[in-house]
Amino acid sequence: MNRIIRESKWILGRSKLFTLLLFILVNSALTVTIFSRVVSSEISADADDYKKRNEDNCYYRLLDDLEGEDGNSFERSAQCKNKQFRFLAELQDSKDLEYYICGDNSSVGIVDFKGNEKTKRNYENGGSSEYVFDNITYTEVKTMFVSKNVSDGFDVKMSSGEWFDSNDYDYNNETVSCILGNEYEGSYKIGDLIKPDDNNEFNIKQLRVRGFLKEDSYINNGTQIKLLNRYMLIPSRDIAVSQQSRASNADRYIKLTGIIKTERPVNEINDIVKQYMKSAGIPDGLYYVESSTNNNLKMFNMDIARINELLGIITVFLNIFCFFLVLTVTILFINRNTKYFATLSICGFRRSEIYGMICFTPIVLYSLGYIISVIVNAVYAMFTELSLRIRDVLLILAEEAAVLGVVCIVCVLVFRSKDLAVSLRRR
Amino acid sequence: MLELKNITKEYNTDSGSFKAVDNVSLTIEKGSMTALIGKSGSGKSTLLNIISGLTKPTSGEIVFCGKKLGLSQRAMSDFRYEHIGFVVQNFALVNQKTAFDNIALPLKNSRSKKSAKKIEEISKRLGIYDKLSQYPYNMSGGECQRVAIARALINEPDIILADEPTGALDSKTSAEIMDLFKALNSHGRTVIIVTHDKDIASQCGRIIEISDGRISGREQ
Repeated sequence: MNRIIRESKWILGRSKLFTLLLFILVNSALTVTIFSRVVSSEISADADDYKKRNEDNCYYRLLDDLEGEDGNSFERSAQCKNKQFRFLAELQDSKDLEYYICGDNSSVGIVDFKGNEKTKRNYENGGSSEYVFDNITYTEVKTMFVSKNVSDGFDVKMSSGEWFDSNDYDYNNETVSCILGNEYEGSYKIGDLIKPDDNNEFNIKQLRVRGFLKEDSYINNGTQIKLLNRYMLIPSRDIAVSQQSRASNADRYIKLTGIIKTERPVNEINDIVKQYMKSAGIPDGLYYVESSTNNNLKMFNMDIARINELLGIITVFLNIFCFFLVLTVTILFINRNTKYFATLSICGFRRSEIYGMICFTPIVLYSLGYIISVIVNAVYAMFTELSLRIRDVLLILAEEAAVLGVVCIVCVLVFRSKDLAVSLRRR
Repeated sequence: MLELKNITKEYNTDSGSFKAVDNVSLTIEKGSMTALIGKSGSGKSTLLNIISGLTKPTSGEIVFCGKKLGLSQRAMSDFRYEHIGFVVQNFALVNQKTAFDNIALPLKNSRSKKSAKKIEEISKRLGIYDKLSQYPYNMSGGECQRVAIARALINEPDIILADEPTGALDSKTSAEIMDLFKALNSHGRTVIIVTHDKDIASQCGRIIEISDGRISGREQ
């Protein structure tokens, strides 16, 4: 081994600049290969997950238009509340669609918030979520009121604890169960009590942590994917409970800005919703269905396919280019140094030692290139949302080992075809 | 010491197969100095390469000190490493290495003090001590051949094989190199020299003439 390393180092030392250039090229190719695989895996995993969870479904958001003259007049009418609950009942009992209550436009101020610096920041704009009122510091936490069927409908899974049960939906505001997003796990424990701002619009006195959501849980709200990592989920009270005097206006509004999941197109759903409104006695136009993201999903999938295809082509091209370059350089190296190897043979070098020397440069190029490119990608992944998966790293290691194996085998075969005795006689 | 039994080396060419060595059997005694002579293309160098393990024979067997040698690449290179020192006509020195590094080439640990001492001793014996830091392109043919002989001797082989060792040298230097081989032989080293020069061959204790790949004459 000593002799192999000694002679290989000497050979490399004779062509430092060229070897360095070759190394940079191989290293760049491997870095791009690993990077593209990371990106591709990331996109594919997200797309697979998204597709699996959303295939064949259209998502529509049910919105109201109660701000105008018609809306105000309707809200002033005596039967407004009952009509709204009848409409809600029609939606919830419908056989043509699935209706989910996902009121996500609220936030609740929390006293003595235990979260970290990250969770104290606003999800959307990164600003501080803290505010002071009456000398008490509150932290606003994004809150989503959800119906019981949200867990199954959107495949929302728990990391620890359990989803709301029927009792959680029948509350009297004293102590309300809540489920926290993944980012709060570690700051709070199951069973912890959370004190909300006394002036919260839902009149909730106290919250008890029931569990934590799995990382990157999301809800497709019809126009966008809502990541729930920094959300607090609160059960939206049963319609029967809400119908009694305990229901606040906010409670009703939340219940009627939900999400419709169906296989039907938007025009059919609009007709169905209009029919339910008519049956509940609500004037036309006060509630309407927003268009679906299904078209976007198709476009999204097409983009993923294109991006993956492009990354795949670049990776394959780079690897083939590097393979042929390293192979060509090594064969040229053998041809230029056949007499030198013949000399080593008569100096008692074993064939295996000479094979080792021939393969030394490609092995060093690929091994160092691989290690450095993994480090570069790992460092990059640390500063971005991308994750360097062990599976991808090992897969590329296997691929590159196979490429290196082919290079070495071809080079050894080329060397074996040489007649050393003839080379030795050359001047 | 070394016995070749029915050695044949056949090459396949465009015009058919060609036997460079044809059923050669011979025995080399320990401590002998043998010359293989013959015209160009007679097969003498091929026979030497077969003995050294550089060329694999098509058939036949080689017995060394009573043991039959395997003909695999590994067995042949092990045999070459342990028992053979090789000298060739054009010296086969690495031009980018100094004389010292060329002599150190066969050593496993060339940077040790023991190796340096060994190289010094051999180079002094061969009269090239003051040339150790020089590169082959700055040395004369005789000096280069002495470096090549020093390299062949560094691992203290049992047999020295020399393929036309004086072919590239003038007559004075040739005589000096032959004196070196004779001195090595007088110290018990087995020497086999391939040459087409009868004067050189006559200085060896035994002459074997090769013609068309066969032994055509022996002189004791």
